[in-house]
Amino acid sequence: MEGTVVSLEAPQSLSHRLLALGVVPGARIRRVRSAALGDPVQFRIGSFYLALRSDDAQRVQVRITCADCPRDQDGKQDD
Amino acid sequence: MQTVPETRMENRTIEILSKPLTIAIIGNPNTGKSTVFNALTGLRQHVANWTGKTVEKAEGWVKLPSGERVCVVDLPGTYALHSESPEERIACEYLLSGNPDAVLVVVDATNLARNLYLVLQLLELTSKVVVALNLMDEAQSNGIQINSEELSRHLGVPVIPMVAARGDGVREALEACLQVARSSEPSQVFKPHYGALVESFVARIASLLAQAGGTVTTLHRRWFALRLLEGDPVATDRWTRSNHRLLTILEECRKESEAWGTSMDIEIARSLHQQASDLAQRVTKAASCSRWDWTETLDRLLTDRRLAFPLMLALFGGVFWLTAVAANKPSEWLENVVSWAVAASRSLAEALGVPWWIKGIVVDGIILGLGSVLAVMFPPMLLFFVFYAILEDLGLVPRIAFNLDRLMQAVGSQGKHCLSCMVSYGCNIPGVLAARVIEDPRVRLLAIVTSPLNPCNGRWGNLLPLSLLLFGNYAPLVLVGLISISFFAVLLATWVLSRTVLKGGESLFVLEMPPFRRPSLKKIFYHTVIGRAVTTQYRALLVAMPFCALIWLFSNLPTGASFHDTLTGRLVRYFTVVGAPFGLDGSMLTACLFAIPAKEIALASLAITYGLQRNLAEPEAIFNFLRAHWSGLEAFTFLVFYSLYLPCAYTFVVQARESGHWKWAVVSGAVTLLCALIFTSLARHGGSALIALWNV
Repeated sequence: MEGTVVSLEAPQSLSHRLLALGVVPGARIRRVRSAALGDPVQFRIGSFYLALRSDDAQRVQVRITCADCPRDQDGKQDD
Repeated sequence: MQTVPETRMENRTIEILSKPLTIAIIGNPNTGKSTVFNALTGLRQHVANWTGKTVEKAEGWVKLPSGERVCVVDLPGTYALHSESPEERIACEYLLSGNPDAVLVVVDATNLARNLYLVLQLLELTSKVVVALNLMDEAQSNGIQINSEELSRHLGVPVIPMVAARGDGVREALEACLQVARSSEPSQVFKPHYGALVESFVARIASLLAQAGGTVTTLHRRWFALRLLEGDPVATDRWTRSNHRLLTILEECRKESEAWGTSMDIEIARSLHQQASDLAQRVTKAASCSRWDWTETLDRLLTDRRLAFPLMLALFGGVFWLTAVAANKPSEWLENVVSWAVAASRSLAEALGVPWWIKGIVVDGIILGLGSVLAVMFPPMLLFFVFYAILEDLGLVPRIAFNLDRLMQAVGSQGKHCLSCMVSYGCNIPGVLAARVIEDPRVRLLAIVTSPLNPCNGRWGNLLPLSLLLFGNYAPLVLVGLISISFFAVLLATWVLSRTVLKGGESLFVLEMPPFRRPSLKKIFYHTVIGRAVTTQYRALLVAMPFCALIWLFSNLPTGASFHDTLTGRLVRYFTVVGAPFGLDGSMLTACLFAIPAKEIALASLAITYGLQRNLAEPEAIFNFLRAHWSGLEAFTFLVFYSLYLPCAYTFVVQARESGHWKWAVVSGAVTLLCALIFTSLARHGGSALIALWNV
């Protein structure tokens, strides 16, 4: 699943970390895979990989641009 | 001045005469900052393929051909100059107050856009910047071409292409830094612009800060204004106290940005990332290349629902097995050397006519004790850390944290806690140090406190021969059982701690997963062999020394007494009463007490506490004795207790230092002892119940 970040509503400790890493409105983000136990989830953002727990990822609103891009499994973030 | 001998006094005089230049190194985590630092200074800062190794700043010196010495400061890796985490705060505060003469920012060329974000933030603080474009070889093989001259033109600071692991570009970067440090003219550097809304508020706040007085420069005022708009805790704390006008403006600004449907921190970050990625795009030519992406393939395998855990277990099982097999011979050789050294020093002492008690303390106590610690501990620890370093360098460690996060979350911790556990299997001391990689202070404490529950190589050195001796073909089963019990103990202790003394909210888990990289042998040799294994061994021996002397004294005083009347004999009698409810006899507990300074001497201590001998030599006799004396269940009970009880003396010291308070070392002692007693009782009483059932 691939999309564009729309907004971010998280406690400052999380949001500032994500903002520094480039999870900002307009950034393209792709869900790559989940860990062996289903959580956390690995995302590709820009040219690197980032692991986030699904609960934290839920706080990032994404407009989905490509719902069935490679290696997609289940619903991720809301829109 | 160059001929002055380097004593501390005279160095200070030189500093007063002409303050040495200082170069600070900064960069995102895992960009090769520490490699650059090591290449410059020849020091052995630990380097690995996972983020966040350098938490405190490290300092080293470069001696120039002219004889001048330059101070190099390695700042912790950081993605941004906020003060959200301890490492960011250290970097930030140093740059604001330490006044380095030049800042070398190490940039990952394979990840230019995200790295330029930090560079742009840095340019808002100082213009004395040099950019090192590291990992150029990796970028090239990924099909990325970066025009460093053009980047330099845009940024207004020197940009040096670099492959730090090979040493390419390091000299050039140093020269560029020296040039920047010595030039007095401020250069015209890229200044980020944030759009009308943000800039209008920045201007208002900056003028308020100017009125507030102090010696803050115009540049830093702008920087603080931006941080205040973002809600940065340190900046807020510094400026808003009793400054009501500032608070009013910030509130006004919050309302206005809300009206625009955004918030200042998001707007500032978005705008700066945009400028960084525009810049990156302008200087980068990316050719699409259809290379086989082994990071992708390996990641798919390592996170597969069915394969992941068997693969990880096989990997670690393999490392343990290789360590045990390969360390056997070197341990034997070392033991031979030790017994030769003991014999030689004994005859030397006799020739010199040294009193018997000095000879006893020094030769039979210290030399023999430290010798057996070295022989049992060093070869396996060294091998384990070399294997571990290969896995670490490869980039496997973050994948394990990724896979285990869910499990650790369930007990109130997070995936990075496992990194400390894995290192602890080699030796608990580096395991405690590895907890530095965890940003959340609560989880860091959890890792520090639970680290001794992971049996280290010192303990494996005893667990392995004892299980082989006492359980024969069932030994592998027993060892797997012991590992499972210790891992379960970690989970249980973490669960209890995170609901009592270390209560807190959900821990954050944000982990960058770097690409797999080929391990560098040179790096492994210097940083693992010398930096980790030799240093740890040396310090552990220092701590164990007085205890070895003490054990000898306990076992030989009062003079001429029979074993039962020596101090050791009395301890055994006392512990017989204490240990009875848990199924442990007095000799077992006394041996465990003796092994607190260094867990390696457990077997030799058993020989003492069963009255077979009075020094720490490791004789065959103890094997025969134990085989005849212990039942299978008794033996297993002892092994469980020995795998879990109390941190060793040096771990205790390091726990106190790393957690910032000795009380956490005490908590760790209490937790491990409690775990040991619980699991020992379970093993003993559960075991007897099972045996009784079997016989019915």
